[in-house]
Amino acid sequence: MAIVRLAFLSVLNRRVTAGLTLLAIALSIAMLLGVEKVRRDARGSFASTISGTDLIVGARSGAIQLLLYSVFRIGNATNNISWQSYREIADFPRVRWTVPIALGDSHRGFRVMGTSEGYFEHYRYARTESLEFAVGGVFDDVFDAVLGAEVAERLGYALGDSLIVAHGTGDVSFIEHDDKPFRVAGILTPTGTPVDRTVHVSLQGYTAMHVDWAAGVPIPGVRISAEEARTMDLTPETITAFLVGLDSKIAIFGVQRRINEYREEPLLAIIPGVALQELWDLMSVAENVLRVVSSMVVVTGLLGMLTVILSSLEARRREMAVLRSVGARPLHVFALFMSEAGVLALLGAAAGVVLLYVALLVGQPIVTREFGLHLPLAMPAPADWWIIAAVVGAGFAAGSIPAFRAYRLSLADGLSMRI
Amino acid sequence: MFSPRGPSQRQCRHLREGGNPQAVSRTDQTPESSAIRSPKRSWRETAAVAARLLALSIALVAAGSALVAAGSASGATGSALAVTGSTLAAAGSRMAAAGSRMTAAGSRMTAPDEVREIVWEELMPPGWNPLAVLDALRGNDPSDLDALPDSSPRAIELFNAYQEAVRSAPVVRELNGQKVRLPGFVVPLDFEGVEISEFLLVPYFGACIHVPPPPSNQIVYVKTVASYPLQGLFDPVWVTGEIRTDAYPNGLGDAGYTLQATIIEPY
Repeated sequence: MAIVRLAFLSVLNRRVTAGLTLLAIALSIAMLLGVEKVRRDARGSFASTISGTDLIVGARSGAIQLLLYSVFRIGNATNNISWQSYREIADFPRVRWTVPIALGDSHRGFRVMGTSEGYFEHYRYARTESLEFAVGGVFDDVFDAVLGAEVAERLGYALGDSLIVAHGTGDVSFIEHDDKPFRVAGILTPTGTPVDRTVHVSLQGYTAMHVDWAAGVPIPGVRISAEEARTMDLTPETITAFLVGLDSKIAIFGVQRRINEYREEPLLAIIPGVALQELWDLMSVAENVLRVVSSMVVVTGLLGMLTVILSSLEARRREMAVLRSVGARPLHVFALFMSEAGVLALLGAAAGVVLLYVALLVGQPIVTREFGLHLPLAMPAPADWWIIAAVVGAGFAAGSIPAFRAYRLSLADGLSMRI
Repeated sequence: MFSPRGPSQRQCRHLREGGNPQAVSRTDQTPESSAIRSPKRSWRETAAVAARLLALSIALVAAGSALVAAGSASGATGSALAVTGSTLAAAGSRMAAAGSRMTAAGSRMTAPDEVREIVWEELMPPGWNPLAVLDALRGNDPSDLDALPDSSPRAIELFNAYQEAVRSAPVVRELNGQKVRLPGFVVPLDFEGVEISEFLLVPYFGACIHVPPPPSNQIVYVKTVASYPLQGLFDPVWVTGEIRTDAYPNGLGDAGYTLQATIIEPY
């Protein structure tokens, strides 16, 4: 393996130039692997957000829109649905459980969701995981709140703290329900789903907040205090959506059709798995574009390496003559240049992987906070190893071009340079 | 392409041009120098060099594939554990369905063990005609069904009654426990990462959009141990596995077909 050692020492001799080439290859590999990882993990984390729910029902809009606002808290509902419709559908023969959801308010940028206790019992994610409490428990009082793990951590809440809910879903709100403070009754364990970024309150609490509101504003001159609200009937009149569980999967189509054709109100029932798949079919175009762009970046990096080696050939003719004069055959020169390119590609790949993991370590909490994407630090997937092997192989192959040129040059020059 | 020059000529050239005589190697002086090789003799060494390069690249590929194998071995361990878990779960559900299995025991014993390819018509009992259900519901109604607008109360009433009837359509009990192979379209229900682990198999694409949806004996609820990467909702698949027919408790009708899939492949 003297050739490899020679190649390594030769590269070391030109370490600045070689270092820049290495950096180019490392960056391009890190980018390609990073894109693949984000694509895979984003899809995986989206897909594992909700399991075990047979149907999601909301006002008639579109399947993806309903999925996004009800499960992922992205976007807004077009309309609410009436409590009567909800109760009637909950009493359909094949329906085993339902969980109503009310959306529309927020707390310092986090969505506030009104729901029943059944949510904590029936909501599943990652196939089989169910929601668990780190501290505290489910709502007891009208004004109890259960926080997702990220809400509690970022805003620094503990059990018993009070919080004010704002009207609307923006990060900043100019109208707040400050006469009805909520008390933190429980904090959930981290789930890696949008549940972490939600403040859960009871449906009665949601109704209580808006009991002295009409047409979207507080009624002037009317103030109903929290204590008074407690004594009123707080059954909601409208909710935003509800989750449905049936007693048989085969019955899904029938119940879905019945809800979609419900005459009393325009409703939409979706199968979460189908809507998720439709969402990904939509995104697949963007994914493929990203893949093509990253591959082009890798090709550019390799071409850069090729250019650097080719341009240094002229300057290294004396080096080749010296090598030939101490006994290296032209084939050795060929092998030397090819190994050099291969070593650069290999080291570049290794550096790229290290770069990727460093970037992941640093950026993971930021990405989870800003985009809600959970990127686990795992070993590279088998597909990633094939990508690395392909790039190293391409590096070796690319090295054969300057190697052949060097072979020709060394043959022509012989044991000393012909100037 | 290239004509090798003897050492003496080169030496002379250097002296003529006044270059550094030390550029010429000492070994150049002797004709028997091992440094000078004619192209013909170097082919043997060519092979040696090429073999060394090949060994290096094979070593790299082997290292890479060893890492790949390590990665997939850990994945295999994971799926082996999943298989164990699902076997236990299957054992539990078998005990719960003991009653219906006893009634099907006779047909089970005569059922063949090898995989049988079936078509969707076989899942409907012979003689069961969904349109006959509609006729029975109409009774002595003389009105022309085709002339009724879709939104008329009578049409809606008939449609809802028809839907009720086909929602618990009868199943073919003889299929219980058989290993079958059936093609169909996938309606995903649950995901394992980016792959599906539970889905409904239906005979035509867009079963969730079309009115009416297929009757319950034309839908198969498929559960799989090894999740399947579905490329798109438009792709049909072949599903191989053991098909089961379960009934609802309390005699509420047939629950439909369940299939424990062992192999799923693109159509």
